[in-house]
Amino acid sequence: MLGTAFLSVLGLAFWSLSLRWPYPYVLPQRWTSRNWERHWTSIQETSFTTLELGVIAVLIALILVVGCLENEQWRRVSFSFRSQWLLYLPLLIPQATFLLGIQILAVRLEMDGTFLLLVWSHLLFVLPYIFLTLADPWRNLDTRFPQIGQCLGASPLRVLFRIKLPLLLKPLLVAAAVGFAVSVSQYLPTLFAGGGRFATLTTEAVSYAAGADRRVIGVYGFLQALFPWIALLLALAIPRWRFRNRATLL
Amino acid sequence: MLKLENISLKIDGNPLFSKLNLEVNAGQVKTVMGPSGCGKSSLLAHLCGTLPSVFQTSGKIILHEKTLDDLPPHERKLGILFQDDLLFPHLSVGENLAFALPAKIRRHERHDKIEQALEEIELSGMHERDPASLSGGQRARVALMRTLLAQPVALLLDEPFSKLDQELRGRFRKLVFAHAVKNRLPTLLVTHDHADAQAAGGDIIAL
Ligand SMILES: Nc1ncnc2c1ncn2[C@@H]1O[C@H](COP(=O)(O)OP(=O)(O)OP(=O)(O)O)[C@@H](O)[C@H]1O
Ligand SMILES: [Mg+2]
Repeated sequence: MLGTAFLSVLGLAFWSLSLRWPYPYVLPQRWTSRNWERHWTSIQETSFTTLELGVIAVLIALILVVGCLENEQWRRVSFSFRSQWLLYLPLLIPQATFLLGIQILAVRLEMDGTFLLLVWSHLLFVLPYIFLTLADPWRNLDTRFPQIGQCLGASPLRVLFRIKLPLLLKPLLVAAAVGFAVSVSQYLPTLFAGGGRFATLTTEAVSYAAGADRRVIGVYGFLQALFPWIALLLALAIPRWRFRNRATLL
Repeated sequence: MLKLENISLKIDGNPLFSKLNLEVNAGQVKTVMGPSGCGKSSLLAHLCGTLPSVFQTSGKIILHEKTLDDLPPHERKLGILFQDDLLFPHLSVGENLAFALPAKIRRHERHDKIEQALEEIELSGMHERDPASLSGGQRARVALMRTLLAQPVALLLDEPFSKLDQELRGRFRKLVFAHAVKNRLPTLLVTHDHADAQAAGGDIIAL
């Protein structure tokens, strides 16, 4: 699976750099950076929008999910079944229908096409994935660590920041990477909520897909695949580096 | 003085024990004994205020004339040691100790206090070490010192000796009780081990 994914990303990269790549050859016959140079400004802008949107949506989602899970533990109640359904709703009903509803609501509120609405629409899809990824590691954390922290005189907030979040660094970053990948891949929400005003790597890749130039698709497709890979790589590398001297957490 | 008045614990309506009365004076050790599952750990969790909501409790916990029942765990000033040392795995040995120091202690003073504490448990120069790289006995001593650095006014012991081998066990027991006496802490030990209860020297209450 991983191999196939890697090869296809490599393929896209080759396409974006090829001038001539006739059928039977494994590698392009002639190389060029022309495709990148010609679209450079647009590449930068869409990359930045993609990054900005993903990072903001992920940060908001993380704060909400951590708040939710903390609340569940302090009040010693578990998340009710009903509210969980609500959280997963965006994943369960058809995206087009759902987004159309949001669009109508947004027009009513005169918010359509704003960055805020765009972030919110991504949040709807990022949030459930982050919750799904983080809930189990969070609930499975050995409760004796936060408990002993409290007995040593640490307030709940200090326990959260000095014990729980560091102990859960890896699942937190993995959840963030998953959320980021979800945000990067959003096509319909970006189009609908952004009112066509915001171009991301995915919307560009899809819009060029209609055209004929495979090399330009290669550029955007490659970046669109690369971003989540980098996020995941960071999510795995940062804890390894941070805990390089901590045998139990490696 | 630590005083328990009519403490009862129920789990889902089924009583674990009821009407436990107990007084421990400063520098004194008392031992609560009972078979596995009778609620010893739960009793200590109740004193700390960290008992899960499946338990129902009644009675009063009084520490130096003050009722603890309505205080959150981090304001109760109770030091507790468990079977496992529970050193925070993401912090170094020194950081584990520093975590316990009250916030009011100033920066340069903190450093000195920790160096002193490390020296006292024969671990000088181990500030940066990974707790996982210490021996069982060393870890137990760090856990004890961490508990004491939080400046507790009473000490709770949940079978903290049971995982150590015979020789270490005797030495660590002595160290713990010596500190309890030196700091004039009322100390409550729960265990099912007769040797531990004997070594504590104080009254034994059966649960
Ligand atoms: N979080 C919990 N949820 C439900 N039941 C629990 C929980 N913690 C403990 N119990 C139950 O409460 C009872 C008392 O448990 P406790 O840990 O206090 O026993 P103990 O006397 O310390 O035993 P041991 O000597 O084995 O440590 C047991 O029957 C246990 O199954
Ligand atoms: Mg127990």
